[in-house]
Amino acid sequence: MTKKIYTILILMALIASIVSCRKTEAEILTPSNQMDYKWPSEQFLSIWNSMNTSYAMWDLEEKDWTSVKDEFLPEFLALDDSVKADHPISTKHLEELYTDILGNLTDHHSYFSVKNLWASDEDRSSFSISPGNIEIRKRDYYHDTHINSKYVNLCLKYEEYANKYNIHSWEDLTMVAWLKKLEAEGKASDIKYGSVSYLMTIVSGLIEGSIPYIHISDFSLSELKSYIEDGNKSSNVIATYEAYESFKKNVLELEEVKGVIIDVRENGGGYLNDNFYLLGMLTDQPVQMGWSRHKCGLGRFDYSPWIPHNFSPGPEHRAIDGPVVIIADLNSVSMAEISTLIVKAMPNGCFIGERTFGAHGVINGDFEATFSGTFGNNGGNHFAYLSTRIVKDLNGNILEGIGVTPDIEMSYAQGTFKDGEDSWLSRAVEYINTGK
Amino acid sequence: MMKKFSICLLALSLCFVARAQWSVGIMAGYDYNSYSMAKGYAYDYRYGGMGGLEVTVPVQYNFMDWLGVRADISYVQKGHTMHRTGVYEGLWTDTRDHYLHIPLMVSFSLGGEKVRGWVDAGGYVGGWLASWQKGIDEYPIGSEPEQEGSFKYYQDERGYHFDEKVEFLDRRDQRFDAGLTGLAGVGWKVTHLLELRLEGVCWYSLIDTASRMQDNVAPRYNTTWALRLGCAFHFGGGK
Repeated sequence: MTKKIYTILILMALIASIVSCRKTEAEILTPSNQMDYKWPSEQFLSIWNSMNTSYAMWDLEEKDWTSVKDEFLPEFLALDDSVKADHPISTKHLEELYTDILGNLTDHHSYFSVKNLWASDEDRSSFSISPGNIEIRKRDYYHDTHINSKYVNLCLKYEEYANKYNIHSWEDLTMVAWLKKLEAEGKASDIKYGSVSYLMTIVSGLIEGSIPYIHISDFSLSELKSYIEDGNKSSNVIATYEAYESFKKNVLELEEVKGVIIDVRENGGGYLNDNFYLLGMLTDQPVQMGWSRHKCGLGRFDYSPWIPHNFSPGPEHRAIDGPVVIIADLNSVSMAEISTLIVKAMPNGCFIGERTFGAHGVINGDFEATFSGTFGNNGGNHFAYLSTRIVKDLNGNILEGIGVTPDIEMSYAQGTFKDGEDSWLSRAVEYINTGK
Repeated sequence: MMKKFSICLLALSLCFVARAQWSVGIMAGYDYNSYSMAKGYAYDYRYGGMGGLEVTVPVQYNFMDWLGVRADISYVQKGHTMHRTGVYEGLWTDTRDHYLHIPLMVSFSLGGEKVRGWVDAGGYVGGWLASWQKGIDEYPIGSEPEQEGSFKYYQDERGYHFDEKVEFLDRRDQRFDAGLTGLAGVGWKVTHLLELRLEGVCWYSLIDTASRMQDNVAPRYNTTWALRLGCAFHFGGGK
């Protein structure tokens, strides 16, 4: 009997020793608590750790983030030694290291700014990295911006901007010149335009009496509306809002709407809620443009389910039977690209233009909503602007880093954009009139 | 020398066989999985355990009336709950995980011919077979015209209700499981062949359910307690 008890006791001691084999919990600091450091290796580890828990697209990355640490930490430790020996660190070298680490990320919204705290007095003190901008330059159809409508106000005020963007009057915007030419031919009316610096530019018109047209440089309609509701009397705000109101009036009140053209070329994105005031105006049914997913926990691959990404009709809407055409290009980003996905999901939608930038991830300004996304201080020691949700289209394709492919492809290289011609806009009108 | 040793070993084995008996049973019961996971700075996440079902087929071989070896095949439901508090209260996820365990235990028993008790201890290997999630999540911003300050409204139909199979991600999920197991049980022999059994079991996993690819995050472990009832059929020689 005693033997039996001894056997059991020995077994229990053995079990107790094995039980302690579980890994202990490491301390996980919030990114905002990792902003102060003394050495380059600490800066690297702070960014590495914050990315590890905050980046929402690790499953899309071929690069294993753990091996990144293994590969680069020794290089940063060598920089520590350099600093300890009172040698400054070249900002170019630091930029090259961080570009190797962060420059190939899929999240095309991502943007990093890093301060070189160990630079010499003559050197740059910081640098920035935009993986999306690095990637699009490798595309065979890459081109710089052509329209630059968002800068029109600055161009009309300052010669420096006017010369830089070659905009000296509103007629230098391709869509304004095109509308004016049609107007002279009796084919366009209701031409309105306005611009609020650092907010948005809107150009609208009515083509052939039944095709409302709008160009919108940024999705800041929600903010523009709040300016008006707050009683802002600025002539630029009023003119911009009137351009939008004119488009809305034509969509909602015209007896016949043959089709609608939404022009988001070079639109840098903005508020998702703008959907209710633009595309939400063109349908009386919710539109599912795809699915989205967010981080759900601090693990690198902890994700929520794929959630239907629906867009509801706006407070004022009309079911448009004719084609809804959206025009976008390489420099159409974020909400502009999501708008192309919404239009493509509409039964009467058509996307004309170029494959877009590839930044469809949704950004939630509240870090604590998913404990992921943007971290750091812009202008501080380091800053990372990141998506909080990843989006896939109705066919299940994740287009982040790739962009939305148009139904009808156009190119700037082969297009005509002078003397009141805009072959992209003419193609949209042709599609509405012919259905092909 | 070798020959003598072999003969001795054979004689000893025959001696054991003469006293040995096999038993095979079927048992089922309720289990409760306790989920250990540090939430780090995600302060409003609340993780909790989850109850489930457990079914076991125990197979035992007794060398002596007090000592045996036991190997089971067990289907074990594990899982955990997660809900948010504060601003995001109303968002929750219940995760149901299905496991298969194969434990190997040493069994010590004591008692009389009719009623016996036993304590078993050993280890197990297993596999994470499937996972299922249900809960409420938030639609992306822009889906609803009216965004409210509090997320408590997710409790009604405006939140996204999901109930779906979870696809495993090799980079996220460690599907191999292994750990320690121990149990205490009591049995009542209704006939020479049939025994009714009641057991309390603990499965203590030593494998982090997060893959090593999730480097540098809080490890997550399952500890499952079960109370099972069933019967066993005895056959073979001896007691």
